[in-house]
Amino acid sequence: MNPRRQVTEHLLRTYKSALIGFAGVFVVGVVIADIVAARVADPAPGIWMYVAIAFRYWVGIIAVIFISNNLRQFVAVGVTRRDFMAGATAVGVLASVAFAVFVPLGHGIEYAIHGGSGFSAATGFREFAATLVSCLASFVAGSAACAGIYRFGAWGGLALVIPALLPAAAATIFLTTDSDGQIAADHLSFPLALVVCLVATAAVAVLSHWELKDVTIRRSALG
Amino acid sequence: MFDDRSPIYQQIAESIKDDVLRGTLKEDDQVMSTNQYAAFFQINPATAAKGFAQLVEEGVLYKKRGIGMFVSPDARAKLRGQRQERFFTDVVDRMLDEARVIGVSVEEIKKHIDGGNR
Amino acid sequence: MISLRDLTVRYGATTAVDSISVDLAPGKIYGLLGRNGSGKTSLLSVLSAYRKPSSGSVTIDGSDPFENRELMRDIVFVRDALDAVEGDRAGTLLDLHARMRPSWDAELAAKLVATFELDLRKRVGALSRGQRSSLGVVIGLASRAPLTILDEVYLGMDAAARTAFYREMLADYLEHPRTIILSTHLIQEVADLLEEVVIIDRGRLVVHEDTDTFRSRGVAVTGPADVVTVFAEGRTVLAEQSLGRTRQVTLYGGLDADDRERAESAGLTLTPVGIQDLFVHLTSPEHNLEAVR
Repeated sequence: MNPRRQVTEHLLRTYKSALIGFAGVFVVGVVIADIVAARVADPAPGIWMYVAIAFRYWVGIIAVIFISNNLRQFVAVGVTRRDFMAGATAVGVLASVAFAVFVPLGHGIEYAIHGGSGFSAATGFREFAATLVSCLASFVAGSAACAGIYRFGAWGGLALVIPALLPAAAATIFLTTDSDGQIAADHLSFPLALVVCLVATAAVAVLSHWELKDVTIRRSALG
Repeated sequence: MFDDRSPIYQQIAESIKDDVLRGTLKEDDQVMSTNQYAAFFQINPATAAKGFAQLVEEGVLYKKRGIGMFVSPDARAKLRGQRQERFFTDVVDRMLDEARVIGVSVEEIKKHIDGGNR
Repeated sequence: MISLRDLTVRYGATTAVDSISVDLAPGKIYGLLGRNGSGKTSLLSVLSAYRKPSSGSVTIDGSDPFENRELMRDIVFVRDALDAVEGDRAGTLLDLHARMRPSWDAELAAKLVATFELDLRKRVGALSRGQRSSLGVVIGLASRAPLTILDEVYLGMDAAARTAFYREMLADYLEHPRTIILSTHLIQEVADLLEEVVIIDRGRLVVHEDTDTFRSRGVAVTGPADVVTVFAEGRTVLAEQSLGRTRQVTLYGGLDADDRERAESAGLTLTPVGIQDLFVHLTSPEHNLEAVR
């Protein structure tokens, strides 16, 4: 079997339950908050989109865990760094897509049950695109930041954290949605904001690849 | 089992020769394979193989292809001959040297042997 | 064939492995011996594609193992720290190896787990030092990789567990011969299992030869000081000590029959030097290695 696929499957198997568990807690929390909101305010504010903004950061945390925890483990079972990166990136992309679907879906359901703020197909699509790009940006940023520290140690890596976090910063500035699923800031047009974030993501993906392609496998996460 | 005094393969060869001399291993008896020997004495099989190869070279053992190694029919006689030759130089002469140093006469030694103390 | 050519590993100003060239034929059990900090782990890390050398090269059957999918799959490197996710259960870790290693032997793994009395439900981070080492041994042996590298895997294992480890390693090697590199400084315990020894000290290669030859290299010569001094002239002296007019020197290089006869007729006593002592002498800080090389 292809080692990349094995990496992807193992990581999914390992972290699936934790992710689904977290998401479940979120959903329950939002439902409770929605019920409370409906009692105290009219019209009730939407809660989902406040909370859903967190998903994109989770993807960043996943990337950090992959590099600090799993890279070493996979090289130890005879997988190349390249194959590990490919397999792990597949998980990052899958998680990003899943959240990108989950966010507008949750928003739509909340709207349907509860009224709340306006929701339309166009809003949903914008939320999908914004979440997908933000998640990818966050994954790549987490990966590059962690890889820098893994490779160059805490101090050397710190210098690289700033460029590494650029895609996440760009997504936060240009693609943060408000409670109605609207892009909060209007510095750029939405398509341009997407493009800027994707370019930053691609550039930092190159940085991350460069950091990891021949990295020394250390005994612990912090070198 | 083995010590640092000489290469282990030589010690292996010596111990098998001892077995042949004492009759523990008889003519045409099969000896342990190198792997069995290695596992039994916890040594590297290459070392065991080297000891066995030396014995084959000396004619103490012979190989049957695909079956294993066996004690040569004349091994015991040959080893006896060799040890007998060495007996006087290695054992008797040394004993006499020691006797001279500590002042034991040959007569006393003879008497000791004749006395049937053994 | 594993070939190291001028292999050098540097960490900043420190040279951990200093221009080592050595060839290791396949299918043997090697002992990589060296004191702590002699560069063993750095050398093995390059061999197992955990790190790139600073200069020089490693090839296995002509190819560089670094990021080489086929070769890396065939190398297992178990180091004392055990490269695992601390929160994983021991059983989960073995399952991962079982899935990823084409030559994994589940039966052997189960047998070793029983031998070492490992509790697979325990999390890796919760294992004692000795159990952690045992888990490393299970991984190293059950992977049955064509190149098996065990780097000081016995840490924290008691004598009984170490004996079990040596016994199981030899038994499995006899059934499935492969290249095993065992790094250690407990030489006496494993010497009989090693076909060849490679000794490094301060990053440099000191000795590479078959164990039996190495074993017969050391001899201690004891006798009247002046006689010993004359006898030792022109030979490599690893150590010396005096008590009154008696002097003892440890010589390296083995004596032939003539030497022995000459020594004995001069009234000198020759005693063999144990392999562990020989190693200690060869790698002692005050000793000048260049004289041996």
